[in-house]
This record gives sequence, C-alpha cells and structure tokens, in this order.
Amino acid sequence: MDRDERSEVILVVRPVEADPPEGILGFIASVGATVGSAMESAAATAMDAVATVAGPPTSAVLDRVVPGVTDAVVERIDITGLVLGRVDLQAIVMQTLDRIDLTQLVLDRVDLRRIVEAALDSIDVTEIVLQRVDLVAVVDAVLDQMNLTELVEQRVDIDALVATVDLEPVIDRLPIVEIAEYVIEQTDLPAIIRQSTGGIAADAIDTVRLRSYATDVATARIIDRLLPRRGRKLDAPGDPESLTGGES
Amino acid sequence: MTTFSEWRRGGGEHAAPDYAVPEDAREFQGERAGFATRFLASVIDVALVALLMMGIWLGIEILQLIFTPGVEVDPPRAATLVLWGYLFTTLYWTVAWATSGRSLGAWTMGVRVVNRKGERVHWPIALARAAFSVGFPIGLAWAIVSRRNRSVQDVVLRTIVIYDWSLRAPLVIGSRHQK
Repeated sequence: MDRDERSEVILVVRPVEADPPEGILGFIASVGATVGSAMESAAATAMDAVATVAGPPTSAVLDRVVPGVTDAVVERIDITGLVLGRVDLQAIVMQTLDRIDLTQLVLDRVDLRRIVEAALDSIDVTEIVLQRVDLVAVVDAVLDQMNLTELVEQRVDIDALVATVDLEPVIDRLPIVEIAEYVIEQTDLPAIIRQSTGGIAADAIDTVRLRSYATDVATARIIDRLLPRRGRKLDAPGDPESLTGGES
Repeated sequence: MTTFSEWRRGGGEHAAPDYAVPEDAREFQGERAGFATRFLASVIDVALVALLMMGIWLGIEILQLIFTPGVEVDPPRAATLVLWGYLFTTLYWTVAWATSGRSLGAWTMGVRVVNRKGERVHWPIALARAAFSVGFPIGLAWAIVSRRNRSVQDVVLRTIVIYDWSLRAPLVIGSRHQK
C-alpha cells in the first residue's frame, strides 16, 4: 500500500455541547455520558501517544484496534451502576441547582399556557371551588370591603329599574283607606268642608250644643262639689253611632 | 306632624271618629248627657208640639170660617188642647226614640236615647218612656244630682241619653236587632 494513500484518523476530544437534558434523570445521563466520553478521550490520548512514539504505521493499527477494545470495555462495564456507586450525585445536583435559575429556565423553556390549559381541561374547576372554597366567607369578606349602596347608586339606573316594577300588587298591599283617613285627619279636611259648606246654621247648632255641654259640665261640677262624692261616671255602654258608623 | 306609621301605631286603624263632628266635641261623644242639654232638647220638642197644636187649632178655626161663615164656634178648651198636646207628644217621642233614638229637639242638641246595652230602645220601652216623660216631666231633674246623669225615667226604664252629634241618617227601624 502506498504511503500517500493512507489516511490518518485523529480523535479530538472536546466537551459535549449538546443542550443540557431536562430533569434529574437527564442530568444523570449526561454525567454518564461525560464519564464515557472522558474514558474515550483517555483511550484516544493513549492512542495518540502510541502513534507519536511508534509512528504512522502503528497509528493505523491503533486506529483499528482501539475502537474495538474501547467498545468491548464499555460493553462490559455497567456505567450506570458505576456512576450510581461512585459519584456523589446529590452534591452534583445541588451544585447544579445552585448555579441555574430554575424559575427562569421554566419560564423560558416551558409552554406554561399549554400545561395550564391541559390541567384545566382535565379538572372540573367549578366542582372543586364548590367543594373546597367557603363561598359565604368569601362573599362576606368582599361585601365587608365594599360599600354596596354607593356602588348601586353609581352603577345602577334606579329610575329605569323602578320603571319596570309592577306597582299594582304594591298598591294592593297598601292600606289605602287608612292612608286616606290619615290624610283626612292630618289636614282636618272635615273642618275645611264645614267651613266652606256648613254655613251659619250648622255653626249655630254646633255653638249651642257646645255651650249646653259646657253648662252640663259646670252644673255637674257644682252639684258634685256640694255632694260628698268624687265626680260622675258618664261612660255609657255601646258606642255612639258617630264612632261605629251606625251599622254595628 | 304625625307620620303615617306613628298615626297607625297610635291606634289610627281603629274606628275613625266621625269627622263631621267638630274636633272639640269628639272627645265626649257617647258620654251620658247632662241635664241642661236634655232639658233644652225637651223644651224644643214641647215648643214644637205647642206650635203644631196651635197651628192645628188655627187651621180648624180658619176652615170653619171658610166653610161656615157667621156661625159662632166654640173655641176648644185649653184643657182639651193640652190633653191632645200630651197625646201628640207621647206619640211623637215614642216614634222618635224607637226609630232614630232622637226627636228634633234631641237632634238639635246632639243627644240620643239608647237602652242599657247602648242599642236602640224597643217600642214598648219607647212608649213607656214617652208617657212617663210627658206625665212626670220633673223626673228629668234627677239628672242634676244623679251620679250617672240619670233621670227618674232612665232609672225606672233603664235607658240612657248620650251625646251623639252624628249627622248620619238614622237606622232603618229594627235593623239593629236583625243581627
């Protein structure tokens, strides 16, 4: 074989630049990979040394032998077990966690919206709120914090609301007759009517009646003073027709 | 001014007073009437009956003058007129007390005759009271001293005279007893 036609294989060891795998398992895997690559790199370094000392022919032999040997070695070693047994994974994890901003990582790398949507799709939020939340307490707290009256005054068109009210049932519940009697009594409507329609005759009769009543009272008082007794008992059974309407 | 609720709590829902009665007089409506008022009522009634009897007498005179002029007429004797006056007064008071409980005089003075239950008096009682009052008018004077303003007639027949200025129409005869 011509010397010029031979090609030379040079293994270059460099750090793995792949994206860091996610999670602790991924991390462990990466540690394992690092260890593996370190071993590979050690073998390559040894091979380089041999190639340097022994020259190109030896290097070609090594090119053929070393990968096979390395593969055989790697196949026979339980790398995972080795890592689990020999490496202080906790310290590595802790140090790694100290170095990285997990929150920022999640914010950058995770599609939080999809996760939340998926979570919301899978659960009945209403049911959970009804079961877990003391809604009365919540509403009470909210009501305590706000001035409902003021809010209604500002936000509600009370006039429009009242305009929709059916007033007839309300009126049905009102004591209209009592209200009328109250108004009549407070305004002394009868006195107004008497003054406007009664005339002189009615006035005269009222005056005569009142005078004679006053005379009755005065006479009774004089007589009662002369006789050894206390006043008169003038209550009568039944009601006068003025008080009963004359129909009872 | 009293509000409606105050007025209602204060008993406004009870029977409203008769607003036709002046406010000053509402307080003593239904009380037993005193002597002066009842006396005046009787005087008015007697005066009315006297006027009526004189009218009847005058009427008879005029009719006789028209239809039998020149004939000498014996004027009715005073005793006869008084007797007829008694009879007429008795009849008038009986009807008045048994129906509305008030004669014209009683209406003028604002009093009403009722029985001891406060109801309209029955016809026999009304007749007895009318006859008693006509025959023994001085019996009313007992109302001056009676502690319950009762006349002798009231004591005997257990009737009561109350102030009642009501302007309402009197009841239909006997309707009070159809309950």
